[in-house]
Amino acid sequence: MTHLPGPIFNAPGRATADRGLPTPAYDTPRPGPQKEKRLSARPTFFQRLIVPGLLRTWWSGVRHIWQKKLTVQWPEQVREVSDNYRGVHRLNKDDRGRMKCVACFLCQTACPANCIRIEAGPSPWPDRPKYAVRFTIDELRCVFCGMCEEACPEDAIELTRIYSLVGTRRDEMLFDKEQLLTMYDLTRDEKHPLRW
Amino acid sequence: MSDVRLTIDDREVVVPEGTTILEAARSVGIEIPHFCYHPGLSAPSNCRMCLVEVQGQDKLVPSCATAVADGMVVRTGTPRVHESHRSVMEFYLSNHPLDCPVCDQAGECVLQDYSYGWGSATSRFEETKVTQPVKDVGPDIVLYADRCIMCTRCVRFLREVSGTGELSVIHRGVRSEIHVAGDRPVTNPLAGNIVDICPVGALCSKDFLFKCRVWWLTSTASACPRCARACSIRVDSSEGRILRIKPRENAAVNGMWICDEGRFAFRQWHGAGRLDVPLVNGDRGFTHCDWDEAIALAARSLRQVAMRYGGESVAFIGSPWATIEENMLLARLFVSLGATMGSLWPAPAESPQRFPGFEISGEKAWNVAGARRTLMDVAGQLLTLDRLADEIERGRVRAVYALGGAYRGALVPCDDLGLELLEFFAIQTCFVTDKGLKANLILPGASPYEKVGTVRNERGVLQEVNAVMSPPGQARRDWDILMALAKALAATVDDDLTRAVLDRPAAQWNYTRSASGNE
Ligand code: SF4
Ligand code: SF4
Ligand code: SF4
Ligand code: FES
Repeated sequence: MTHLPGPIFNAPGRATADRGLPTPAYDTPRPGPQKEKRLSARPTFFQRLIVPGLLRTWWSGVRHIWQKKLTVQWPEQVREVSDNYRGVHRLNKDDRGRMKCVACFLCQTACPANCIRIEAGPSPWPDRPKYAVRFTIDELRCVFCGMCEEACPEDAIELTRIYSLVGTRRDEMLFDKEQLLTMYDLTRDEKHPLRW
Repeated sequence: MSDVRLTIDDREVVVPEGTTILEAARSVGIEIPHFCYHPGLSAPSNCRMCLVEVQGQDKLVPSCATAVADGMVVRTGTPRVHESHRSVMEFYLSNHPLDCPVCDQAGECVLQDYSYGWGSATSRFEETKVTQPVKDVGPDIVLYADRCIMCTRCVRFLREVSGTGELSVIHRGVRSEIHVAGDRPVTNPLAGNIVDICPVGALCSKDFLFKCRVWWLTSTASACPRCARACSIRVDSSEGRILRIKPRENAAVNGMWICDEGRFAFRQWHGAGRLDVPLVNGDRGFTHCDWDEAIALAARSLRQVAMRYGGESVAFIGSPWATIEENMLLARLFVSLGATMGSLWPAPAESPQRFPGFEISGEKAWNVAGARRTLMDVAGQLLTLDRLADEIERGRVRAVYALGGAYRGALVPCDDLGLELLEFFAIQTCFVTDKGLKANLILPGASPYEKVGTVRNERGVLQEVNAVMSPPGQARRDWDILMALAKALAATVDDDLTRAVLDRPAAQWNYTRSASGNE
């Protein structure tokens, strides 16, 4: 049985359906019985008539009026992303409020986009020899793969679910240590069961 | 000495009598793991990592301290040997902080490498690890005593090579530690070598500490410009910055060590104050000018002097900081102009320093011998600076063109040269010094770490030097400047010469390629 490729946004998603939000799910099969159609290279005589064609086009627009609206009205309407969504980074703090990072450069080493830049220096705390004096992530260059998170031996760097990332200049997207630590304060209470 | 024939891992090995099993295995490319053994030091045989099986002996034997014997059958990879490696590694790792992520040695650490081979992912150690403090060992060395595996390489180096013996082992067993007497820090001129030979990250260089992870370093083989010994070095750089210098093993030159002056010599050429634009001396003092102008001015002035007073009124001064090729090009260029008088800046002289296992030359430039011999070869004679000063005073020399390139603070001694009597004086150099200001033209040249070429050390050994980085700003390699000048002079310096210099067969130069690194 051949499935015709249906429109991508074709059904409410399962994962977030309970929130009542029109989140698309990419893998849900088109509901309802699938009609088997023969694909042929040559259009039939009927398909080649222009007026019925125009009508079909018009109808495919009109019938969506009664269908469920899938467009998310950003920014009034906020799209919920899945729990393990990978968005803007944060630098975690320990229970004493100090940054956890020990400047091991493993995230920088793992990063395939080459967008992390760390400068290490002697740490002010006795429990570690060094810490990151500077820590910059180029969020524009990042491919949000999560390798940095994976590489970190201290659970010091994580990706949050924050995806609204707006700037007017490129250098605004270079997130420094303070910004990344602030991201932690903003997302401190979020729990992300899948990765954290 | 007679040769001994033995079998190591089913391979026939023939080595001189008295060789140890470890060295014999090494000579055929079989690497036996070891910590305390170092080819440049005595073997105390205390780490027990190098145990191997010898047929006919019940116990495993330490290969670093067992001499080979005729007909010996050695096995380095039996289950018993591997079991021994695993036990030794478990022993070392049980009290090791395992702080590889923050350890500077990670990536080039022997303990880390062997952990991949014989370490275990889990630990049976339930007791508390002995913690030890971070100790300040010397002006450039810090000891993370926690990471030390008590191989005593550092202690032996200071006793056997530098002969200063600042470090010792105190206490016993798990509590033993490397002791540095408070009033006697490790300050000897060879101190940096203990950082290199420490197989783990216990001894670290303060200069390199936290600067870069070692896997990002680019290593360039070169020679040390600091003294006439021209030790074989490896320059580690990242993003066009030199971060550290390590010795390369070269029996003909430096053995396995370098001195600290050479280790940190890059600081003397790099950083603030480097000349990076051509400077021309005009009515308003020195002003920046572009290269075309500078080269045209030099060519015009030199040709004018040569036409007015004859070619022999133009003299050149070679430099012990320039390579053989650069000195040769300089000499050929000026000889082709008709110059007969050439000289060579003397290298700063200090008294040589001798240690039981190393010697630092007193002549503070790498290519003194090479420059002298090359200039003599091409020009036939070499005047002393005094003679040249005489000739200048008598008006026989009207223009001088010099190579420079000395490190910061080592001024070329041109004070008594009577430069003010000259019609034209130009110098290619790295730093502008007050004395250099008598020049008509100062051209920004390259530091030794920015050059490609060959140098000859005081013992006559030739070594290839390689560029680690490009010269800063508009500065250029001295060879390139000379080639540009040659073109502008339309002298008979053409591709033939370039080829002759660069393609000169290695055999003819008695070229000794230095051995590979000493890790
Ligand atoms: S998410 Fe991937 S690309 Fe982005 S910083 Fe981390 S490792 Fe680099
Ligand atoms: S991997 Fe973690 S601890 Fe290491 S530098 Fe990156 S954030 Fe810091
Ligand atoms: S400090 Fe390094 S070289 Fe010295 S004994 Fe310890 S491990 Fe060996
Ligand atoms: S290398 Fe042989 S015992 Fe240490």
